[in-house]
Amino acid sequence: MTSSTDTQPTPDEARALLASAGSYGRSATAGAGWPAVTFLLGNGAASSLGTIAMTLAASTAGYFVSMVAMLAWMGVMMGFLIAFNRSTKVGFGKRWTVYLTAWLVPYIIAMMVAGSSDGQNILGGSIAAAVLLVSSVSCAVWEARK
Amino acid sequence: MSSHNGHYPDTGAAEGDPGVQHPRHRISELIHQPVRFSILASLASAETLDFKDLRDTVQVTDSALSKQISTLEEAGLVAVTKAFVGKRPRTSLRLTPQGRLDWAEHLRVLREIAGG
Repeated sequence: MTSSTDTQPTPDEARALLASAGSYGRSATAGAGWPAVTFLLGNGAASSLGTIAMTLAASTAGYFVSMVAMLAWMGVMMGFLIAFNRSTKVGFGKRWTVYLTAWLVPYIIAMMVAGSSDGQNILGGSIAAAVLLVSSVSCAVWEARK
Repeated sequence: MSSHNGHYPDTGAAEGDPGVQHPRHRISELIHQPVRFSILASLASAETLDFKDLRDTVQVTDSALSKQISTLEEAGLVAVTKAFVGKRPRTSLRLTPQGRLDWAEHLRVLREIAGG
C-alpha cells in the first residue's frame, strides 16, 4: 500500500486505518471495567450480608458489631476502587450514577428494616438483603458486559 | 489548516472542480499522524484513560507519548488531568468534546475514502 502523500491515504490504507482504530479502542479498554465490577460485587455482598446480620442481632452490641463489620468491608471496597480504577470505558460516569442509585435506595430501606427489627423481622431483612444482592449483581453484570 | 470544524481543512471545492472535492483532501494532518491517530483511537472508546494504560496500548515510550499528547492538548482535542492517589502520581487523559467531533469527522472521511 502506498499513497501519494502521508496525509492522503488510498482506499486500502483507509480500510486498514479504520480496522486499526477499532482494534486500539478495544485494546485500550479491555481491562478497564474490572475494578468497578469488583466493587459492585463486594459492596453488594457486604451490604447484603450486613443487613441480615443486623436484622438478626437481638442486642444493641450485636447490631453495632454487625454494622461496623459491614462498613469496614465497604470501606475496603471503596479504597480498592479508588486505587485501581485508573481507566474507564466510555459512558462510565452516567452508568456509575445509575449503579450507585440502584444500590443506595434498597440500602437505605434495608437499614430502616434492620434498625427496627430487634432480631424479629427476619422476613423483612431477608427480602431487603435479597434486593441488595439482585441489584448489585445486575449492575456488576451490566458493567462487565460493556 | 484549521477551520470552523476543529482541525479539518476547509471543505470548499478543489481548484478547477467546483462543488466536488475528493475526501482525501479533507484528512486532518494533526490526527492522521500514526501515534496521534492511535492515541485518539484509544481515547475514543474510553471516558478516561490512564497514561500507563494508553502507553501500553499505543506501545511507544513515555517521552514520545508525552510529546504527542502535548500536541493534541494544545490543539484542544485531549484534556490531561494530573492527580495523586496516595503518594503515587496519576495522569488521566480524555477526549474533549471537540476531540470527539474531530475524531468522528476523521473516521467519516476515512470511510468515504475506503468506499472508493
